[in-house]
Amino acid sequence: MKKPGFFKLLKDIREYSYEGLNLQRRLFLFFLLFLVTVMSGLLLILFATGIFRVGFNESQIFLKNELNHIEANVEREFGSISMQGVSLSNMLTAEIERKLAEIDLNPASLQDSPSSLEPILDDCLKILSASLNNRTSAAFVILDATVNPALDQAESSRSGLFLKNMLPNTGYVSPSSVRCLRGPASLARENSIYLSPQWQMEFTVLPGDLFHLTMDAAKHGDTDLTKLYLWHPKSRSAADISEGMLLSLPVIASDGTIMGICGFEVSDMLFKMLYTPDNTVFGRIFSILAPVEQEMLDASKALLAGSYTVTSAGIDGPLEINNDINGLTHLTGKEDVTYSGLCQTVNLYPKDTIHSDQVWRLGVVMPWQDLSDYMMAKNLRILFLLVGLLITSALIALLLSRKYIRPVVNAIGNIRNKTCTDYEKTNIQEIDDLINFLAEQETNTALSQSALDDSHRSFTLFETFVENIKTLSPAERLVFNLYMEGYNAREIAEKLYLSINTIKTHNKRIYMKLNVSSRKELLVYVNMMKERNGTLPSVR
Amino acid sequence: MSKKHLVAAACIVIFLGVLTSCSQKSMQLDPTKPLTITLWHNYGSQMQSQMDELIDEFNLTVGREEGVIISVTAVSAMKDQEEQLAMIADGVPGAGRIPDIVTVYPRTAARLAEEGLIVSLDDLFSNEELAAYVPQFVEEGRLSDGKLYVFPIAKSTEMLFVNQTLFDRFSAATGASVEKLSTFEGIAETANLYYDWTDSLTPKIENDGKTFFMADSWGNISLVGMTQMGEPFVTPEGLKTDKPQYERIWQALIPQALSGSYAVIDGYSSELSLTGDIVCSTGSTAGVTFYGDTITYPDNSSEKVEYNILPYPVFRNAEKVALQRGAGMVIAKSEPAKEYAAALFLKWLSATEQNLRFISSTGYLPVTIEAYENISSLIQTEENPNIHKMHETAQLMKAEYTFITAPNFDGYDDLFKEYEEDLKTAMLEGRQRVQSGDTVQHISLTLFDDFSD
Repeated sequence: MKKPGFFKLLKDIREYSYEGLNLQRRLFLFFLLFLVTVMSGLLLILFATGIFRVGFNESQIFLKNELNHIEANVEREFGSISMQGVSLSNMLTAEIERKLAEIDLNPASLQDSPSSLEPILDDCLKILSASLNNRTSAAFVILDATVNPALDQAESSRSGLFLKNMLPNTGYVSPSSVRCLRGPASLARENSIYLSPQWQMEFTVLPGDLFHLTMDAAKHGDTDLTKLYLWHPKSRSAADISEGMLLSLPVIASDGTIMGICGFEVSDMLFKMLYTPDNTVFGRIFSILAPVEQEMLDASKALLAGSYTVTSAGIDGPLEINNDINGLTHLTGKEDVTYSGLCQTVNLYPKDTIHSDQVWRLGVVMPWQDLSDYMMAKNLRILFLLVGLLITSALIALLLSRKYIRPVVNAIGNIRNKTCTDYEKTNIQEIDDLINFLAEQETNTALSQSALDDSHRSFTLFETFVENIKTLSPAERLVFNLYMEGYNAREIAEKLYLSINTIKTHNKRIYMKLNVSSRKELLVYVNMMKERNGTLPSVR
Repeated sequence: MSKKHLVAAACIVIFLGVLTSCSQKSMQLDPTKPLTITLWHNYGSQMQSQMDELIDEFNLTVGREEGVIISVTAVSAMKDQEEQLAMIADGVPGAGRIPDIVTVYPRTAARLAEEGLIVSLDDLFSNEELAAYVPQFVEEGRLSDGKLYVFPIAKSTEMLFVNQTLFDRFSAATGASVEKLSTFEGIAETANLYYDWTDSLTPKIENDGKTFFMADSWGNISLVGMTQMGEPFVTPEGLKTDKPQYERIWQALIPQALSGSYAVIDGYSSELSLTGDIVCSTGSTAGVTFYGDTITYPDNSSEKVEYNILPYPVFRNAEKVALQRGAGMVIAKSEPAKEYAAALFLKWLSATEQNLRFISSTGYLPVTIEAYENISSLIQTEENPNIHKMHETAQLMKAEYTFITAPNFDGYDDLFKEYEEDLKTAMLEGRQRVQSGDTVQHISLTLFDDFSD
C-alpha cells in the first residue's frame, strides 16, 4: 500500500538523518540542492522569457510568411485571369457577331441556326487556342444553342468548345499538349487538336450550374464584364468536365443577347504546381483555396496544393473553422480530423460586383498532429538538454564530493591506523595543520606517557618498597627507622651500641629486602614516604 | 589490458559502428526532413486515379517512414511527354527541368542517357531485386551500353479492338465475318467491303465510304509483320524494304489508306472510335480504357456500343508474333539521396501487390514473375468488360504468340520514327492525289518504288 510505504520512507529518512549522514553524502546532497535551486531558477527564467514558445512562434512566423506569399500570388494571378477572361469574352463576342453577320444572322437567332454553330466555333477555337497560357489549364466557350434541338437531351445540351492544356507546367503552351474535351470532332481534327478520351460533342448543362449562374447574372442588365465574372468552385457539375475552378463570363452581343459564356479553368494540377507551400519544415503542409458557406470551408470544392499528395479524397466535406487564442486556425472535418495553420480571406472580386458576396478563404495548413509534434519537439529538445544537464551535474557533484572528501576520510582512517608522525602530507592546509597538531599531541602524549610510565613504574617500586618494609626484622627495622630519621650508619652504630660492621650487615639485609642498591636509593624512597605522608610514617 | 578495459573498448567500437551506420542512412533520407520527388507519368483516365491512390498510400506509409514524398507534377500522353523530354534534352529555353522520375520508352531513355540526364539503375537495384521481375521486361530497359536505365512498371502488347456493334450491323448487311480480322490481309479485304457498303448507303454521293481500320502504329505493323514472316525489318544497316515480305505488308496497308478504307491521322485510333469513324484498330492494350461505351455522331446523336478485343492480327501463313511494349520509369541524375528515394518508390510501386493493383483496372500487364503468375485470379474480379476481355485475350496470346521487343541499337529510334513519318506522309499525300483523280494502284506502285529503294 502506497500510503504506509511513503510514510515509512519518510521515517527511514528521518531516522537516518538522526543517526547522521556521512560527510560525503552531506556534501553531495548540498551540491544537489544547489543544482536543483539553480535549475529551478533557470526554468523560471526560460518560462518568463518565452523560450518554450519558440516552436510555436517559429511555426507561426513560417505559416504567416507562406500564407502571405501564396495569398499575394493567388490574388494577383486570379485577378489577372479575371481580366484575361474579360478580354476573352470581348474577343469572342466580336468574332461571333462578325460571323453571324457574315452569314446574315443576328445573335438572337443563334438558337435557331444549328448549322451556324460549327463555323462560329471554328473561329472561336482559334481565339481559345491563342488565349491558353501557363497560368490557365483550359479555355472554353459554351453557346446557348445546340446542334441538334430534336434530340431528347437537347434541353440540357449546349454547343461549345473546351480546350485543355495537358501540360500546364511548361513555360509555353505546346499545340500538341492541347486536348479537346468538348466541341465538334471535325473542328478539332482540322486544327490538329486531339480529342480527349473523355470527349463529348456538347456540354451538359443543369439548372444552378456554372452555365446558368453566369447567364442569369448577366440578365440583371449590367453589361460591365468586370462586374459579371464568376469564379466557380471545383465541381463536377461545373461544365460537367472540369476538375478545377472555372472563371466564367457571359458573352453578350451588342444587342444585349446573352449568347453564352466563356472562361478559363485553373485545374487541380495547375494550382498544385503554382501554390504549393514550402514543405522543407513541415512535410505535409498544403494550401487550400475554398469557398466559405455557412461559416464552413467547403473542402469538396477546394483546390489543394501540397507536395504531399493531398487530394480531395482525403479532405472532403465541410470543414468547421475555429480560431484559437494563439491566432491559429483549425479546420475540423469528418471524424474530427483537424488541419491547423493560418487562413485568411482572399479577394477574388472587386467591390460592388455581382458575385462579391462570395467568400473565399485561403489557408496554409497541415494535420494538427504535425504542428503539435513540431512545437513539442522544440520544447522536448530544451527539456532533454536541461535534464541532461541536471544528470551530468549530479554526477559531477557526486564525483566532486567523493574527491573532496577522500583526503579527509583517508586522513581520518590513517589517524586511526597510524601515528600522526608517520602520516604523509595531503597538501590540504587544514588537514595538514590538523595532522601536524595531532602529531604534536601524539609526541607530547608519548612523552607524557613515558613520564607517566616512568612515574607509574616508580610508583609501583615505592609500593613494593613500603610493602617490603614489613619483611624487615625488628633489628633491621630499628636501623631503618634511624635511617628514616636521617642518621647515618656511624651514628646509628653509636646510638644502638652496635659495631659498624653489624650495621653494615643490617644495611645489606635491608637493601636486599627493600630492593635498593644503595643508601642513596633508600633515602629516595624515604623521602617519597615523607612526601606522601607529610611526616615520616612510623614503621613498626 | 584488464577485462574492464576490454569491455569498455568493445562497447565503444559497437557504439561507433551503430553511429556510423545510422549516419550513413541519415545521410540519405531523414523522415523529419522528407525529400520531395517529382513524377511525370502518362497513366491517364482511370489509371490516373489508380496511380494517385498508390502514391497516396506510399506517401502515408513507406514514404513517411523513410522521409520521401512523391509529387505528381504532370500527367499527359506519352507523345506529349516525349516531346517535352526531347526539348529538355536539347536544352530548349523554357522547356523546364526533367522530373525526378518520368515514364519513357527506351528510345527516349537513350536520348536522355546520352545527355547524362538519367542514372543507371544497376547501382540502385541489386541482382536479387531484379530477379523478381520478368527477365525480358528488365532486359528491354537496358540500353546499348548494357546498363539498365528504364525500370519496368507495367507492360502492354498490341491487340485488335473491334467495335462489335458497328461490325454486327455491317456483317448483317454484307455477310462480313469477324474471323477474317485475324489476318492483315483479311482486314484489308473487309475494309474494302466496308468502304463500298458505307458508300452505297449514300447513293447520291460518290466515294464517301467510311474508314474501317486504323493502326496506332503503322511502323509496328511493318516491324512485327516482317518478323511474323521470318525477316527482320529495322537493322543497323537500314530498313529491309527490299524484301518480298515487305511487299505483302505494303499491299495490306497502302492501297486501303489511299482509297480511304483505312484512317490515317496523327492521333490514336481510340479517338476515332469516339466518333464511330472506324470499326477496328490495332493499338496498345494500355489504351483499352480509352475505348468508351458510347460513340457520338456529328449531329450530337449517340449510341451505346460494345467492343470485342481480339489477338493481334497475323499475316497469312505467318508466325504469331506480337510486340511487347510499355513505358518504364527512369530516374533523373540528381543528388544521391534523391536517386535513392526515387528507387525506393519504384521498388515499392512495382512490387507484386502494388503492381497487381495498378494494372487491375488498366490495359497493362504486370511485370513481376509472381504477379504474372497470379493474373488469372485478377481476371475473375475485373468489372470493366473491355479490361476483362483484354486480359482474356492476353492469356491467349501469352500461350500462342511469340513476343518481341523493338530493337535497341544506336539510331534505331530515329530510323523507325523517320520511317513512320514518311509512311504516314505517303499515305496522306497519296490519299489527296487519289481524291484529285489519280488511281490507287498507280500511286501505290510509285510510292512502293520509293520505299523499297
